[in-house]
Amino acid sequence: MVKGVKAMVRDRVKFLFILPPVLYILTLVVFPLGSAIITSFTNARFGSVESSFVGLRNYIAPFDDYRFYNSVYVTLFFVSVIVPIEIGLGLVLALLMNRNFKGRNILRVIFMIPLFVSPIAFALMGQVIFYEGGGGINGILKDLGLPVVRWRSHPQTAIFTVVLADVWMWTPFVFLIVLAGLQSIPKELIEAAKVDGASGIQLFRRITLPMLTPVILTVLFFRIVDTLRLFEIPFTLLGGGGPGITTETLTVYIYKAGFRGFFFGQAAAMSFIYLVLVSLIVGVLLYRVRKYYV
Amino acid sequence: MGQDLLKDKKMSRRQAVSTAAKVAVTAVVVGVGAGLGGYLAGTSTAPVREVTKTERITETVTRTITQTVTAQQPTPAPLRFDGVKVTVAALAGGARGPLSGPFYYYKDEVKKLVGMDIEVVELSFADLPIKIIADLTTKTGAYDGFVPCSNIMGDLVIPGYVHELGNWIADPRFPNWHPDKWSYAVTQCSQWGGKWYGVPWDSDAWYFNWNMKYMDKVLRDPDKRREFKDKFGYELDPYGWYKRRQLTWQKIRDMCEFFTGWDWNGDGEEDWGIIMGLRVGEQGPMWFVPFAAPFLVEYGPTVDRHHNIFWFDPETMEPLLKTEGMVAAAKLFKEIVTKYMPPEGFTFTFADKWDYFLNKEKAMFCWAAPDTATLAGNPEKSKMRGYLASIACPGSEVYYSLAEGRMVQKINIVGNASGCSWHGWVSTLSKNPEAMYWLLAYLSTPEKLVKEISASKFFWTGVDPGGLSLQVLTDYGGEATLADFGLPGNFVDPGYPNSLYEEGDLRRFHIAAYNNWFAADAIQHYLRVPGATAMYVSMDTHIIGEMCQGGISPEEALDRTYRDWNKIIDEIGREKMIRYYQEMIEYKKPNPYKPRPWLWDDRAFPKDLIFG
Repeated sequence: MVKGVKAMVRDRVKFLFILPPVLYILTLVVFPLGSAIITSFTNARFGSVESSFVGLRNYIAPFDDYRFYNSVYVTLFFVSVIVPIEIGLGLVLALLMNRNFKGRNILRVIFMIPLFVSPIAFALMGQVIFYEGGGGINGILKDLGLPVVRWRSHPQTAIFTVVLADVWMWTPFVFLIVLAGLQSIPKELIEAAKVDGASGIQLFRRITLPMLTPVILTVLFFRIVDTLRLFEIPFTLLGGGGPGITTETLTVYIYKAGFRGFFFGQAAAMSFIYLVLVSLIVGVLLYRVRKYYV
Repeated sequence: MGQDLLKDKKMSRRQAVSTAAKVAVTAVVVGVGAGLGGYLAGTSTAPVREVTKTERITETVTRTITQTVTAQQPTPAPLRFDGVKVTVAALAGGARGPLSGPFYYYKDEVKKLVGMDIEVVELSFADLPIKIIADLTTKTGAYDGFVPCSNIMGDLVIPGYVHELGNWIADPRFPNWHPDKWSYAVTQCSQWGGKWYGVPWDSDAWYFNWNMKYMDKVLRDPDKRREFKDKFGYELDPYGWYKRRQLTWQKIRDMCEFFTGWDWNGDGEEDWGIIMGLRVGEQGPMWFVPFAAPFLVEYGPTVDRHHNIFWFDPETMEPLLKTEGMVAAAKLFKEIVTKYMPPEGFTFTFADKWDYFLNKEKAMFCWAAPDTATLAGNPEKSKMRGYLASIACPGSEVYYSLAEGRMVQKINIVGNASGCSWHGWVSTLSKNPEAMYWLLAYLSTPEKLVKEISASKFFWTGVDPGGLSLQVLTDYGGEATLADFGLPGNFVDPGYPNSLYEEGDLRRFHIAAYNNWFAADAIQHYLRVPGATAMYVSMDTHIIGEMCQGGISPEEALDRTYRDWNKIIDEIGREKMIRYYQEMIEYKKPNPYKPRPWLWDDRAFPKDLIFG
């Protein structure tokens, strides 16, 4: 009998160990998610004591809102421009840094510095770097007698500023992962191909790239998801997605609806639409590349 | 008992005397010990009084008695808020910050006066309203009071988050901040439906400024004046226009064009006509709203559907954004900021814009909050001390009459209360509401607000003078003296720089403040209905962002704002919003604003440069 009780206690003690993560998930994931779902069906307004059920209104309204479409377009535009640049540039840098030459280690460290800067810190720092009246970049342009660039105040240039800033921040991440992938390619393969008389381009196309594909796809996946939630640079550096709404990504628009406009119900509904959008993109991506992960 | 002792123990008389002596000595020693102990412990002990055998003991006794007398003096009555701590949320700025600074500075003084402790919670501009409202909606009650922008007033008053102050204002136990001496334009930001909910502190308004160093140089050059006349067909006479109540945005447009492209400061670069701080996400609409007011607000003796109205039709809550007056204002605003303001002005915060105007001197005009006048005297931030022209609310030569339904050709000047207008509020969740009110009232008394805080004694530039008649110089009908503003530069306080107001700058500023608050044709209402924050954000996005920077037409920008506002109104409930708006403007009641004669002082302006 006593033996049975002891076994039962021993058996159940495992639940004690999983209790902290379960509580963590319940309080910080499940509860907020549930609360957000409920909020999205109401006209809840920050500051207002009363709110009522409005059905699907908050889910339908964004599809009649040009700013919602604009923010979706801006987000997808950034993903389609930023991610290929980062992947391409990161790959080139990794290939270069995978060679043996003097100063390679120092360069590797230098290339990785942006990775350690928090996005919000960079966005704040960017206000000085991209200061149009003579900041870091325009100051140099002025000294060289070149025309200054309206980094933040002109709609077209501002888009380029976001791209530039994000590429600067995140290319090192791609570089690091791809470099690790390159270094894991067995040297024997390369050497055997060389013995067979393969050229540099053939080596890259027939061995390096195929061997790197899972790594590149992984990093591509990370960068797409990350860029879909681009927030700090357009919000902080470009004054809430400006000029106008030129750089207003979906995350910025949702934030502004909630914390500037105080319309929590609408913001919650848009968050779920955004979640569906991200899930769709990621789902399609995973489906297309599933063979590499089998 | 003595006898029994002798009998039982068979003690001789000698032994008995000896024993008695020992007992006596022991008693003395114990007494002295007790006396010393009592002395050291700071309390009186009776036995000490009886021991006076030696000089040393006597001295000890004397000192002990002295201590006793002190301790027995009547205890002072406990201070009114002894042991009470109030927590106040204010705009982040540190111990010398524009709005947080005074709370730190008066901490010790308040503690000494009423025993209250003050804790300041500093929050960023964006976080301040969110944290305050989050605290109230979740019933956390972390703040006893707060000093936010007035645009969240409806969100504070209507759900009952803040105390109505009427009883406390009437209670003589609280400091008197003279509610009757504030201008209507300022008090509207503390009142709802005619009742006080906030304690006025800051008197924000937008003023027009120019650099007299360069303006006067041009005006003294007949060739330049001729150049202006040839180009625009009339005489350049900015001082004369201001004196005669003729300075309008239409004339300013021409002056901006004329002054763009010169190199004032000799840095080899072209300078600009005007500078503003139009960074989206800051206070962008505050630049447009007072600009547009004279195109639409028409004075009337009562607040009715067609008079003293700017934001909505009070009967339907139809936004007045698509009226001809608003379209004309938006077109002119766009023209000025896109042609005659440096493009970086669209990325400027307040600080950038002041630096550009006061320190770099790269623009002739500046349209901004009143802190410009305070900052002008600070040599660390300005090269314009003594050269700042502060001008009240330029008018418009044409405005849309809601009553007549057409544009009217007449100069219309409208005073504004644009900006944050930081006022203090007492949370209904506060456990010490009286203490919180006492503190807010104390800081708004003339002794503190006029002579120290708004006088910029310590370079707190966020609390601006102007609203309170007490704050205006005696020369201009107020009750403040030049000395109240530290002239001639006599403020000295450890850790703070001297106040460096220049008399001319100060006079011009006070004339402008007076004209804005008391002498304009009409006064514009400050938008503070529930949802006002969302409405300002919408204006910021469409008018400042999309129209001025993004290139969409004024009509399109106004239409997008119009649609957003209607959405906000419908979201909250149109019927409710009509009621709230009518309460906000005190609809159908007599207009509390009565214009006074325009103020002018020849001492403050160059007489030889008035031509008309």
